[in-house]
Amino acid sequence: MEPRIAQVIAFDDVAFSYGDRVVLQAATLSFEPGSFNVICGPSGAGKTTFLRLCYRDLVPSRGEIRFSERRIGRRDRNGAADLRAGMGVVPQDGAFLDHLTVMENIALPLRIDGIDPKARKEDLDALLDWVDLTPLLEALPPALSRGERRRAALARAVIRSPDILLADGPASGLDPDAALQIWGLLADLNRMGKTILVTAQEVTTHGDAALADRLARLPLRIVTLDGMGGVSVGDAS
Amino acid sequence: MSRWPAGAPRPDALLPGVAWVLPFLSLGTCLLCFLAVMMLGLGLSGLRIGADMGAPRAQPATLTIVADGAAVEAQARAALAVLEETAGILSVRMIEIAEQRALLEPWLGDSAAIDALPLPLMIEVGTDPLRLDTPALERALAEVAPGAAFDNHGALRGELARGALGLRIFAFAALAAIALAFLSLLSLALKASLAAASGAIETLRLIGARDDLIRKIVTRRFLFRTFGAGLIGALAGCGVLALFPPESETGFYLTAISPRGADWVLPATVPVAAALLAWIAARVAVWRAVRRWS
Repeated sequence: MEPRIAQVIAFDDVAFSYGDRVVLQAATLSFEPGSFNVICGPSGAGKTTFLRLCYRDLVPSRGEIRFSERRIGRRDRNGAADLRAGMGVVPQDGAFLDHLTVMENIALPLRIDGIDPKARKEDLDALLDWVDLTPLLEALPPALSRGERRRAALARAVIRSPDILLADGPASGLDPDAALQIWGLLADLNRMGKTILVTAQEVTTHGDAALADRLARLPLRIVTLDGMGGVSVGDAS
Repeated sequence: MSRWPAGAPRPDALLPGVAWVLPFLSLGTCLLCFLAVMMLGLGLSGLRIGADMGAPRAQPATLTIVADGAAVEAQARAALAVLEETAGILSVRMIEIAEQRALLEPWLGDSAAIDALPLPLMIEVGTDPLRLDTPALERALAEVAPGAAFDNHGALRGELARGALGLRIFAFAALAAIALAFLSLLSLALKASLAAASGAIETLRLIGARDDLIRKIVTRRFLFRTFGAGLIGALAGCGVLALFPPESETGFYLTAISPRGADWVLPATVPVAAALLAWIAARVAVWRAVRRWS
């Protein structure tokens, strides 16, 4: 018998709506460990909502979402917080504490866990180097460009070395070079075995050959939201 | 999830400040605690005066004899004889003319007019109100000394007791008003602080902070601020109270509002109470806020 593959996140007949506006209707799908998933759809289709359901910031109006086979009750606030602590989440605007430096923002999850960031200085330095933000570690977030903010948010999301990373439009609005850098970082993480869920209006290369090449080599799984509650799953080809 | 490493920056530094909120809260808390300590002193003074006036313990009374010439002396001797045989009389002392002059001087001035007054013979009588039968004494005195009038100062004590009650009501009503003003101040500061920190709190939630940790961060900030500011206000209040002359000093019986002995512990409870109120209010406000944002 084939060993059963654990699902990182599994939607079972999930529905969600904002009043009369249906975002998801009877969605049943799952994300497997190590997969690279792109949640696509037109503007307003509910990509961010889908991602928020994935990190339990929203609760479905019907159906059930399981996290690594684990159920989190509707009122289980500590369970939801612990779930988020075990994931890496990159919101679209970065969501930084603007009065703290880039370094302090990236180390924030450690402080939440009760770990002195100084004790993890080497990891932090390596992380800053990986996202190419070492010269900006003492900068305040408002001074960062959009691409730098996304990379800083990515660094903060992976500092706990989570198994799953959820990023809301990580490359949207970036120039091809910055987008290429972000896709490269996500590809690095996926190669390390991390499960990736990102939202994007569409998977586009902006005519950039290097970006097209990078995307073509990623084992992308495309989850398309049609904006009327429907969900379809396919691959990048 | 809610531990903090030794030496790590204070957790409340994770929340952005609002320029005016914390100085406003500190100044307001300091002033209100100062006023609360003053009102506490006034209330305690009212309690003390009320207790003094109603206490069944040794109280001075005055026997006044008004008569002509040698009759005064005869009536005085007869009255003293009655007093000696009466239960509940603790002491008897003649009030000298010089003392009577000193009593009248505040009202009439140091003038020859006092010398011209027909001053009565006055005797200070120490009494034990529990043992003394005042009506019986008054009857006995009337028989032997028709010019004698026994006054146990009950009317004055009654007036003072009513005044002390008014003082207590005023002080404790003022304390209640101060507490309400402090709660309003806290509510305003908490609303402004949480509104300014909403983005930061959302971020903390996003990276897995539990509600307990967020609550701890906010409540710490308010707890320490209010306690520090309240302590300064209370110490200033105690300093001012200590400057008031004691009641034993002539003319300061009613205005001796500094606490006595163990009563000094009570002003120390003011900053503790302020910090406790702030802690509870902050916990409730954060509890409501995190649920609203979820």
